[in-house]
Amino acid sequence: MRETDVAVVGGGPAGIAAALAASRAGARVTLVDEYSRPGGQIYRQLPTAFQLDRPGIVDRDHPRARRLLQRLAGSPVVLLAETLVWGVEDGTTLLLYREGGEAEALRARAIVVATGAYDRPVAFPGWTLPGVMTAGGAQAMLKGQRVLPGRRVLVAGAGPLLLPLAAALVEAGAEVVAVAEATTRLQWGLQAHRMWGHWERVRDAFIYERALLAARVPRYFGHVIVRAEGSEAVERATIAEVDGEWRPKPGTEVSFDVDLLCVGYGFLSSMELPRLLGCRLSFHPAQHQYLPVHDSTMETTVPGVFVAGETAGIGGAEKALAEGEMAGLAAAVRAGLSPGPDWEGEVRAARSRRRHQLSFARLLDELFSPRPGLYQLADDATPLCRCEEVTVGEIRQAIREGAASTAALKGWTRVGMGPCQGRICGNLIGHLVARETGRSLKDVLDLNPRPPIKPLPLEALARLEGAPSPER
Amino acid sequence: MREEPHRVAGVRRGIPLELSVDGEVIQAYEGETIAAALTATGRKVLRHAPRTGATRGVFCGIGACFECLVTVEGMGQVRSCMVAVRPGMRVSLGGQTGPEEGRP
Repeated sequence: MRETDVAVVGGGPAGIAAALAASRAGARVTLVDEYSRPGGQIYRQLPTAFQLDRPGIVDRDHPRARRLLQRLAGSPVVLLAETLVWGVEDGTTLLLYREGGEAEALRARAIVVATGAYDRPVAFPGWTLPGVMTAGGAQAMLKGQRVLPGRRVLVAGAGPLLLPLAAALVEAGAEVVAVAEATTRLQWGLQAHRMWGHWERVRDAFIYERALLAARVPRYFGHVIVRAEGSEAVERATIAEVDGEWRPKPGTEVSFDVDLLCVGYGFLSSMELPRLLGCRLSFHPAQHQYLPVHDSTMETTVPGVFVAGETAGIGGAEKALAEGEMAGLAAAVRAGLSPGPDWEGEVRAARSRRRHQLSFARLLDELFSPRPGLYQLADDATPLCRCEEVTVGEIRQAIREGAASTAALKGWTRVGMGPCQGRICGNLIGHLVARETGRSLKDVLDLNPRPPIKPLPLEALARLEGAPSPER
Repeated sequence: MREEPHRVAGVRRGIPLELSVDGEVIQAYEGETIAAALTATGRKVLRHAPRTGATRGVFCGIGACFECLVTVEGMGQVRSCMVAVRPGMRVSLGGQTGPEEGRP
């Protein structure tokens, strides 16, 4: 059994900021991260064996990331890399597993959950074909591996992350045949005044827009992806113009020959650990998901358990850094440490940075929040649960027979029982159940994760005393 | 140097190494993930889904979806986007998902 004052889960900006803040306050800190190098998605690092010769558009965050990562490397924070938190024993003990090793327990006086987010899944005919990737996945391969997952690419989605991805693809030598954004230029224009004060975001957007203009990348506004086709892998992708509810208008389809389709309609927060830890959640209508309830120090309803970054709600790296600092300091206090005399000033400063970022996050929420049409693209033959290959038609059948919630459907059809544990299908199934039964999404999103939240070999558990046995 | 259309310039990669994929030797570089090394050879189809036999490949790219599972000798099934290549690694594709082969 390992012990620590503050355990931080997730090595992105929020987790690193939390670990550094808690460590500065005198706490012994253990930072657990699933990846081989800290940084998370936005501050994703190249492998140690790689050397960057020419930073490009894909490395825009590199200088900021490097400063933060250098501070982490120079701190006494204990980093457990390539380590999965797969379960919890009670409010204070995390269960860990390192690939090829054995499971072990980590007991902490306070826990900061900073497990980030993943691309919001959107199902449409052909979405399971190889060569159909999430925007974040394509970005990760470019940023972290410098490998181009396709040569002729359609980027479809909604929100500010389509632009850096498209610009990075162009820079890497791909032909971006189009960027299809669900919202319209008019909708952007009407909100433009709210960019006031967010100058760094404005400058980023300008740089990406300029790169796409220079490469003459066709832009389609008010269009969504409607289908992907191909025999073994994607060969063709089709977009269509949509109405205000993002429902495709007949006769407006445009098709492209592609070998890569990147889809990015925003993000969902990783809610497995807050759920396992018993944190109370509340529904966020614009983000279509449940998020942990927290107080002004980022402490959840479970004493000693804090959240920071995307886990606390989608809002980007700067919000994550501010929340990480707040959570880290408060977690150190919870762990019995007394931070320096100025810690309340530091928290106030972080809180004000957070407020500034939240105003931007709200703008993005309002502008890019998915409309109902996005959840009606899949037809009856489309698999909704990718792991167990359960189609929309099969799920609708089960709903007609009486399965009235995502949890009920799990027993009925095996949805959410595969290795992804409902991370990919859970939200989509919630939308389908809500539509079929006329209930609100809020009332049907009840798919709960069970340990292990990601699969691990049974033999890894052999020597772990007192751990709960994994359920299937 | 051999033309490598999927590997992007601007970085120096780790030392070259070889691994086998379904018996075929492919070149990769220290630090690459299995998924990146496979993608760099142009491979998109990493497995067939057990029920329908539908092709699957890298989807989320960050370890959340388990679509990119491959079998590595000595390691079993791993997410290819999360595991780095090692010299002499033997990878097989096309396997079934999950630990429940033979279920009805």
